Amino acid sequence: MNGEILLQTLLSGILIGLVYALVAVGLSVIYGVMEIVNFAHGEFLMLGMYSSFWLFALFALDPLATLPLTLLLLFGLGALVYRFTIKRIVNAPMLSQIFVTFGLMILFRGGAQFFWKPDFRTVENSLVSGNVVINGLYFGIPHIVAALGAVVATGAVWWFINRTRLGAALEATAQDKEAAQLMGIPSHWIFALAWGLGAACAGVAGVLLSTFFPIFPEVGANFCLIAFVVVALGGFGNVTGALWAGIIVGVVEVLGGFWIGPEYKLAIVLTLFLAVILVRPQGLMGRAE
Amino acid sequence: MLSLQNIAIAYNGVPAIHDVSIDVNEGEIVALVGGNGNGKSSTLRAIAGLNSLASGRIVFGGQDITALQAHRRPALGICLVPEGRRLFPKLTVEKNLMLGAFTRRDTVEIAQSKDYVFELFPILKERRKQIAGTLSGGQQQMLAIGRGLMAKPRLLMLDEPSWGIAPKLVTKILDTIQQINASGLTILLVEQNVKRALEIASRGYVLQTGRVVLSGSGEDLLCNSEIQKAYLGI
Repeated sequence: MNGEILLQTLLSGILIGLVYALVAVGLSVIYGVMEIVNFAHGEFLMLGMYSSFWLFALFALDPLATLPLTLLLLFGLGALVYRFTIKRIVNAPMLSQIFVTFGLMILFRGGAQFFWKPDFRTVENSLVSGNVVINGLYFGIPHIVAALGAVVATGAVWWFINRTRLGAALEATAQDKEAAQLMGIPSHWIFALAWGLGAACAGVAGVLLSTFFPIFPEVGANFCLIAFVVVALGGFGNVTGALWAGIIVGVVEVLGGFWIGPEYKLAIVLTLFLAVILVRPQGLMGRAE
Repeated sequence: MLSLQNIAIAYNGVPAIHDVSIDVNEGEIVALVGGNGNGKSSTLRAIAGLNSLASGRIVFGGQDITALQAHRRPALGICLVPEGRRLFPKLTVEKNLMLGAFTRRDTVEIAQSKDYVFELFPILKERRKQIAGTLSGGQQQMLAIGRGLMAKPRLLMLDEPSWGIAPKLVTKILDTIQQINASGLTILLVEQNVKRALEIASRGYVLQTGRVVLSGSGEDLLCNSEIQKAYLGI
């Protein structure tokens, strides 16, 4: 095959992989801090997309301009979801926790279908549109902007966790909740923060995707599934691991789609996932406990 | 300074502590001694707010803190260095120390506390970039005490500071505790090593099956024949 096409495919895999990484980081933060798997994570992404869409459709505001607003909206939503549902099941059996986040998924998805119809929506002619040709390779500008935005957002989360006082409190709570309380760190605020942060990651990814991806109530499903794969590969609660794993998944998906056929894209990613689970259950970058 | 008034604690309805009353005065080292499973750790956890009381009251510095949440107690000056150390194992020594000062805002004072901790335990300064979980047992205990001191507490509670560390270091740790106390900090100590604990304590309480069975000055307890028989092997 043509080397240029391979390079083109590889690079577009990296671009989408960076967005996957951001979605996964959100999932990973929530799991890392409180060991709850958020099945409604894709719905946070979906709501981010709709927020972007409606602000565009109703007020003609560009997705890039409304990104900070959506970030805040989703952060608030994540914190509220914690306050009114998750807080009650923090110490509940895992099965109850799964039911609650699964229920939230159905609630958000059903709500979107009910209020916004199951139609496909798109953001037309946003600031970021069109293509750019670099050395004979074609790239969608929305894809490039989305990837750059995802890198900046992922970097910001890494910086927050590793370089700020509150981020240290988040890590402390993740490692030993009781010991963190002994330092004066209120667990419930930290949990709310983790949910806010997790939802905001997915929401920002949703906005970045909204300029080139169709928007519909079930759009979160595939992204959530891929985020699970990325988190499992990168190791739970590991931001840099998620970044590399996101890129790997993006590249495998696109290359597999190219060689075997686009209809098998997800199957190929899930095969990779199964292979890693069998060989390295702690994840590619995770360390065995 | 601290007064436990007839406290009782139960786990899932099973009583662990019955009607315990203990007082700690400013500047003292008070030792809680007794065998395993007699309620010493439960008592310290209750003071830190990690265990709730079935009955009784806890008064600290004239304020009733019985119902106060655990994370609000460090700001009052209550600090527990818990059993098993409970460091943040994947964070560096330095980050563990900074988390100890979480409730404090004055960066100048926090830096002073850090210097003080490094002065007490120079090895921590040397290892400040090391991940806490990779330290030796003795170094981890030093870090746990150091992290506690970073809160600039008025009352420092230590639960089994000699747990899992080399005998040579036990002496060093207990000496340091005495040194910290001499600088004016009040200490409530739970220790398996009954002899050493009572030697440095101004007063002691003996707990047995969740009750205070004996109390008195450290010296008196050391001379008590029952204690000698039960704990000192004399």
